[in-house]
Amino acid sequence: MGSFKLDKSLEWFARACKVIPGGIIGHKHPAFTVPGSYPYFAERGDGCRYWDPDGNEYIDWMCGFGPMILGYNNPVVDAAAAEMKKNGDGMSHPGTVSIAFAETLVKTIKGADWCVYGKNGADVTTWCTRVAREYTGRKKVLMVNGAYHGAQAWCTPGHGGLIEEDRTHVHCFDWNNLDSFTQLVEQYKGQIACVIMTPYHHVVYADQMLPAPGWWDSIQRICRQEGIVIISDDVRAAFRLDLAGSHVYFNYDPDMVCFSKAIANTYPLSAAVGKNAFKKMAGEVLFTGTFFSCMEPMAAAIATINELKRLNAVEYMMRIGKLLWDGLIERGKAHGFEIVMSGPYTIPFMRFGNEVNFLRKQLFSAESAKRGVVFHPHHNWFISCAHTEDDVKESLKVADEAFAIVKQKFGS
Amino acid sequence: MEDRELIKSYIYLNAVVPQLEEIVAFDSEAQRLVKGWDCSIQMHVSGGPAVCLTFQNGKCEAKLETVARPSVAMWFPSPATVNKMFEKKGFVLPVIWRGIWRLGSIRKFNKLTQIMEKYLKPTQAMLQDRKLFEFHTRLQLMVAAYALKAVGEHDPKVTGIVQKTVNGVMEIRVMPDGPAVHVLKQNGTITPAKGPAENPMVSMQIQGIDLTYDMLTGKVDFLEALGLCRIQLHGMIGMAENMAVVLERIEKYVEV
Repeated sequence: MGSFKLDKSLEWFARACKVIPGGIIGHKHPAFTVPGSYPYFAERGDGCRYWDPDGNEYIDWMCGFGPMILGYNNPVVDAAAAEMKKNGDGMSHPGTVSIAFAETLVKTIKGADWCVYGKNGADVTTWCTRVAREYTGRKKVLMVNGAYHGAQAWCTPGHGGLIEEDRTHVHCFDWNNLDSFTQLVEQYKGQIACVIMTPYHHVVYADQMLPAPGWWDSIQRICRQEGIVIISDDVRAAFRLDLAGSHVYFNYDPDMVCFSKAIANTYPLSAAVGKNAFKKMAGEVLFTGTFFSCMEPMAAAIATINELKRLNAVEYMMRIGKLLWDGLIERGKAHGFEIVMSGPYTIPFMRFGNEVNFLRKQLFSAESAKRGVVFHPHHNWFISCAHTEDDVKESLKVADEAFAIVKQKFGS
Repeated sequence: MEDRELIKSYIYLNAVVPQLEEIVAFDSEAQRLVKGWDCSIQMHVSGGPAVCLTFQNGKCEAKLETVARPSVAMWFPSPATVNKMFEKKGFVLPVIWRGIWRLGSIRKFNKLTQIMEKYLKPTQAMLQDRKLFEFHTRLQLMVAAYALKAVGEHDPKVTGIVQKTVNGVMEIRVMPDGPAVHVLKQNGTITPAKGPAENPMVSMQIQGIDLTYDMLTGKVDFLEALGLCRIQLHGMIGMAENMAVVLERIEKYVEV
């Protein structure tokens, strides 16, 4: 195992820049990692691994930023999708598979009485806020500072193309800070349609924060009291904490829940589920898109959910995640580093305890990538059912080498 | 509603004028002018920026504030008046409320600003001279860093971004041994300084002075340069992303 060459990745990137602004759009741009150390493009994937244009092989602890949960090229999911695809797709009417998909989700997710389907997480997070506004007749949306609910104007962390009015009725409070929340509730009493929150706080460049004791109970109590709709944005965490929804894991009862990412094991699909009380309004708030009713991803989603249940997936991923988590802390300690892990075992975030500017983490991640293990320097990672104990061992061996390089440059 | 004139006046007085430090250190004619000069010249806009330049021992030092008892104090009744003067749009006569009898100093100062203008807006022929090209680029880099303060603290379109940006130092360094600047962001304030930083929160390293020139003159696609490792970010990338938004706002106000 040694340093990989990225000549072809760089060639492709230079070519891409001629026709694609910035070469690669969004969060998969190399600038978000450590350019020159990570692959820029992926050619194929299998299980928990993928290969770049230079032929380098990587163990992927990012799982495509979440969608891969059973493994790339999963035979069960791909067979179900291929079977559906045989019949053609994108016809002028939805397939009956949409009913089977909705039934599967309603049966699987606790508290779900109905389901709608879209393509990306932001489709459903945005739509749910509109349903809440229609339901309550109120304008205000509350969200947590730093939370990501998509790149729509009302919630994007980006800065371009926005006008002040985009955020006029969106107000932010701090995670685990009840005073910050109640202050907004008091300030906009009777005007708040909904609060949209992730099950736990997963931001970039910082430790993940689990709900403090009583946090969800308090949010729920105040919202019920004030008639505020609770939307759980489970796009990132779903199916990695509890197959019935992350709200079950953290014991709260949302009115609507948003899903995407892992729902169809890399096939493009999102969904929102909700309680009966919102069903009529859900039908009245237009939700549509040319590709929303494509059948192949829905067949993949049904197969994914069934397979996750069959494999007792969460328990397995928790075990693998804990092995990686503990292993990194132990390896780091052996090199004199305090390694801080945060979040759930299945969606971990790692940093070096003695720094805030990520220089050590960037070097660690870059050196790991050069040796075939993709740990993201700034974003949380994801565990999948395709990762094995051997993958953990191999990754920890690489981590050991990377820690040694970090120590050489920065000391312990 | 942003006050365009006010922000421009901050850029002129707090980002452009302080670069007389660089001019005096580099240009022989400027050095001749300030030789033996012991004088402080202050410019102050009502309800806006101030700058005081102290000339002593053949050097110039800029402070972005008013000082007690400057040799010459010029007062501009509004941001628009100072902007007009820099943009040469009509005749502007600041109120010289202190040191009016020091006409020689005022003349010298005017001459210095003319020299500075030559370097800030060089002719193509000047840019062919490698030494002048490098100095012009260095000057642009300094102006950009100081303008970060002017815009980041006063443009309502970005003050919120600055507030939310992590506190710490962002360094911009031309590699391998080119000029460097850094800014300390602390809550809503930005403090620029020349030279590399000791322990920056994020360091932007630009591969060479030519690339720096291209970047500062908008000839480089920043994301492309990052991907191709021609510009590297080390540290808290989110901080650099936010400050880049502020940097981009500068050109909306003035061509520096």
